[in-house]
Amino acid sequence: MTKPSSRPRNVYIGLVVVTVISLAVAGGAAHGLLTARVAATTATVLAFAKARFVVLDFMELRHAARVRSYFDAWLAVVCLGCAVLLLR
Amino acid sequence: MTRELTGTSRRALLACAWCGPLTVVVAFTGWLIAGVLPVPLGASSTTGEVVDFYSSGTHVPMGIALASIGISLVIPVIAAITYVMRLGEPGAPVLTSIQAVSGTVTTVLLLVPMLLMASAGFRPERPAELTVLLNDTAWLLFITPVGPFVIQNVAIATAILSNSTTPLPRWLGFLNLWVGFTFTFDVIAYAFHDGPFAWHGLLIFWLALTSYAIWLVAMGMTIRHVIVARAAGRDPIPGVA
Amino acid sequence: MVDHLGRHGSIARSAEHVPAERGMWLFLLADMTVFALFFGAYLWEFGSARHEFTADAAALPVPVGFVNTLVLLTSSFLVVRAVEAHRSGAFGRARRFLGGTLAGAGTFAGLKLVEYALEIAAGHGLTTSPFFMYYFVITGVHLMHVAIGTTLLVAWRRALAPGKAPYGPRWAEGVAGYWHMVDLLWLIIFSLLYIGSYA
Repeated sequence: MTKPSSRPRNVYIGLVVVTVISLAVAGGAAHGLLTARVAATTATVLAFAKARFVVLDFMELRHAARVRSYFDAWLAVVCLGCAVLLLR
Repeated sequence: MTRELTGTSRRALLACAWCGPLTVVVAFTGWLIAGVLPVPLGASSTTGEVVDFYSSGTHVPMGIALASIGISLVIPVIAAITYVMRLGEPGAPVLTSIQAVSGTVTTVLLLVPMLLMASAGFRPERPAELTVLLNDTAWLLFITPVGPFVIQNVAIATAILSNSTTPLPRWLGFLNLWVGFTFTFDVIAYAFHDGPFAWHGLLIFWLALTSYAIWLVAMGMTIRHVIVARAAGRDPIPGVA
Repeated sequence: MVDHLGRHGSIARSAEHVPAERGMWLFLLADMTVFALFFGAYLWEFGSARHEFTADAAALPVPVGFVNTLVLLTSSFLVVRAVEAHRSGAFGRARRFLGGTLAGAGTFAGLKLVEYALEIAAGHGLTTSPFFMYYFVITGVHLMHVAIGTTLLVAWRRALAPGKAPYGPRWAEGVAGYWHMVDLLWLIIFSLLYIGSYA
């Protein structure tokens, strides 16, 4: 009766993988392919994408329509603001 | 705890509740007259700027004196908060007492810097560095002693969120936690003369001013709602057990 | 009133189910918005002094920050498991998961203090440069959240001990939400301060 759902585990593994990718993107592996600005912005957008999975699957707000929409709006606005400030 | 509110107590409590928004109005008016608002002296202001501000006329100490009267209106608000919290804490009123004491100390710590600022404007022809000293002392005393207010916020929040019999709504508990958080890091103003973390910075003065104003209005208006509902014999927040 | 003990995992959830309570989530958003102001101020100054900021950021021990990211992600995942166990009444299991989370919180704080010690030994401090001002203030305020979250997690775990009255599942969901916010904010802080300015 208490079999845990496998989704949080998959999300957790995905978040770890994306963290490694972000570090590679920003930390030099992609140098020569991306400028510093684009690399930093890519890493930031990936961070906000990860944050969204924390909201949906760890905070369990996937099915809480109204509250979820507040968090989505917050993430979208703050991510956009950070991207603009990084690229300017 | 009696449920009835007699005419005089009811009116007195309503007056206390209205003191919340009134504090904001009177204090802001005083600061505008004095020139503390819209742009206050900063930690980076030069000696010349500080002396010029305080010697620009009697409107400076008088405006600040008016602001000190505005801040004094927090006292009735704290009394009303104490009354309403007591309703929800019928046993040993520990959290209510913490709130009353820390709220009182907070008020003193807001009054004293106002009086120091007004004193700075009293005799601005004194040696310039003395005016700078008074101004620094007043501002640092105004901004950085956040402990008592944070304790007050946490006491109110704990009373609301851990107690189902309080007449105060749960959102007010969360609001108190947030307001408290916006003050916690104000102590770092001691480290900076410039930037967002200096005493006049966006994340210190302006954030604290905003959240304190929100707190005064929210506390005052919620208490008004509770008093009106109780006087009418209603449960102020139906549906919340 | 929904009976929380009757639900399992993420299945059988009504479309409008809100864990904990709405006011708690609005509080977390307001808390996160203060951090958003910190991020905005940091990036604003970063944009006008990129070389200075990047040079300072190069002094940060990125591997330590990276390990701390993994530690917080793992602790967050364990909290998800603890909430599931709590809901199904498996309080012993919930306690074990929370023990893991607390170990993560302790590791994070310990590594953070090591990091601060390294920075200070290298001559960097709160007032040495704009980058380090933001670094110490932002990570310091975040560390305060780690401490508050840890206190809440300890209270949750203690109340699950045999013979004690456990808190209700809504309370557990609220503490879990707070801890996930600590994790979420760190993901952004790590990206902005450690690797965003490191590139």
